[in-house]
Amino acid sequence: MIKLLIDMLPKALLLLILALPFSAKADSNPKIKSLMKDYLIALGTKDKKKLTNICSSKYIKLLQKNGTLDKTFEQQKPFDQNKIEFDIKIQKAGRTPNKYFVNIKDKKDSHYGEHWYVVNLEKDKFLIDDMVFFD
Amino acid sequence: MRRIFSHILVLLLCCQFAMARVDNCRNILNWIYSDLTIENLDRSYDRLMNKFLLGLMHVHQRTQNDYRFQPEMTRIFNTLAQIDGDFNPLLAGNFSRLITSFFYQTPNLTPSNMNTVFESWRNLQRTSPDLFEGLDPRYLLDDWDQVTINTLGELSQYEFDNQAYRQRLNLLASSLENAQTNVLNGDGIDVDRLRTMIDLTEGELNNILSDKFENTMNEFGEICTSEDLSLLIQQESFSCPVRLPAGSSDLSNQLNLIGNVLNQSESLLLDRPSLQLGDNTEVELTDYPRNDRAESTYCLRNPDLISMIVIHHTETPSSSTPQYINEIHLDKVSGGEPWYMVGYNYLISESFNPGEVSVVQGRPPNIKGAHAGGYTPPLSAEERAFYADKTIMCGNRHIGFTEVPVLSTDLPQHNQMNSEGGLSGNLISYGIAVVGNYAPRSYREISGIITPVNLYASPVTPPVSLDVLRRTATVACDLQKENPNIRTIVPHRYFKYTKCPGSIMNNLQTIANLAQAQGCQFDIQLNNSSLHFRRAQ
Repeated sequence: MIKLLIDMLPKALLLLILALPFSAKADSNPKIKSLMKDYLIALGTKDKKKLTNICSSKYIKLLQKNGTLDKTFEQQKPFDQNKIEFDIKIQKAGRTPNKYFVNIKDKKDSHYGEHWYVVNLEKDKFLIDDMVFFD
Repeated sequence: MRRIFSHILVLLLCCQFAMARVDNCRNILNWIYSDLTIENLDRSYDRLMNKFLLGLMHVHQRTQNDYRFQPEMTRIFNTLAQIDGDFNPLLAGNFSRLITSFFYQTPNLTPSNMNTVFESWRNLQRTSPDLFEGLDPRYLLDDWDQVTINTLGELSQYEFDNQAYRQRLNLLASSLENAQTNVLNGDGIDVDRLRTMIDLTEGELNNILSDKFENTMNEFGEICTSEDLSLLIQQESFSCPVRLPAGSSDLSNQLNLIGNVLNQSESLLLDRPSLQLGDNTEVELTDYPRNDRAESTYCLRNPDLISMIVIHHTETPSSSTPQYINEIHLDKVSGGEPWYMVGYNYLISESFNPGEVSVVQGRPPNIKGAHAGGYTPPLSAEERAFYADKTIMCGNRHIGFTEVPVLSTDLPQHNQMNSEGGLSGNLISYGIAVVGNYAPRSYREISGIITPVNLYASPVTPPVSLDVLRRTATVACDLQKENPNIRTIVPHRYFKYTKCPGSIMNNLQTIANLAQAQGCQFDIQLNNSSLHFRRAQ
């Protein structure tokens, strides 16, 4: 029995290693979705402080550049926070660890846009860090 | 090697003889004496040859004797076959043995024809680095080798015949003596003084040497100094030792320096490398990190497959470097596979060389691009016939390469056809991307909340400069001249829902007109019937 266990150990370890990325993915998806929901709420409620908690300083600067954030706030209309629904696509970066590309769209839209949020995992916390154009 | 070196010596004589081409002579002498010395020319040539042989064997192994997708490789082998007619039949045999025997026993091997081979080889390194994956970087030809190649090329410009040997030897003896003395004294090389000295000594030496060197230089296995030559003449001996003046600290220092240079030739980076495309386009080359992972595959293609040019903008700040765009693309994943490298084939950049519009090579043209995913119209009967026997090679160095018929759908991971019978836009096009953001900032409503997108947009979309359009047209035209099948220019949005290439979209006809002024003819296609079909659905 012990011999069998010893024989199985490398295989078990291998399976564990193989399973790890999937478990990480399974963990990250809801967190990233929650992050994006928070992002939408922060924009919709014009909550700059909340934005600074979910976005990196680099992204905040990008938002503020050319008055983009103010113009975004100006356009917001009242909305129901309990009825926020959106579709989301998450891609783990091909090379850089702890980096994800995230695209969101309205449920009614037929297709995603070509701009992707760059979300980084930093010290167990997901942060929106950039926006890239993937054509 | 000794035979080659004899050729070099003779050609050097020819160079000296052709004093009308003073600049070339000065360059060569300067190089040999101040940087390389004759002994080191020998070492450099050996180094160059050994690296080339190792590289050749590596590429031969990697491509498994299939060079159809490497026009540059074909050119190299054609040149080798011209040097020795037995090269191609022998190629199928023991490659290592063939190479060894070929390079060391072929009587027709001269700096002139080998120069062609080395030039092509260096181009191949630049255009198809995928072939060299796994090869120790020390075996890649570098800039020091390029200096050697250039010098051999210059030397080989001078044709010679036996009748002229005597005069050339005279010139060699006197000019070497003078130049060597000057260099050892720390002076520059005075070409006029060289000429005077040559004139003065020519008659005298000519008489002495005329009988000795009538027919051949082959007795000289090594380079002689002028002093050696004089001794030899007096002793009527033709065994010339390698001899450098002893006791010269300058020379020792110089040789040490050269040794260091040989060991660290990368520090000799001269100009930024570039390739000539057609008559008018200089394509700047730059190093890109690539995804060297088993799951990141790519497809090698024959450039004959290309029929269109796709225009993009990168939607990044205009100051973005090609490396930055490569970094973004390296993180991109399609179909579960991380991208191999930047997806565009050419980037038009106003910041690569500040003050000018540069064409920078992205993904090498013989690798299927990653910039035109989406829908393509079904192939016509004529197009199907054209592609019927075409294949590509897909894979990477980890998993090997598989030959894939272009129209086959048997290998899902390498399928090039869409469900409507269209062929992958990435396969049949070159992607030219203008670095910059030519789209306006926009907003997207998600669940009633306004979100900004295109965050790198300028407050006002910048106009597309005429220089950028002109450069784009020139590249397109030179690509068409290389491959007349390329007759169409399309915007990226031809393939999918995208705003790319932004306001450049309005300038495609200008690009075609500018290309027409250079003798090229392009159709502009803005719409894709397949895309419309999808939209209608």
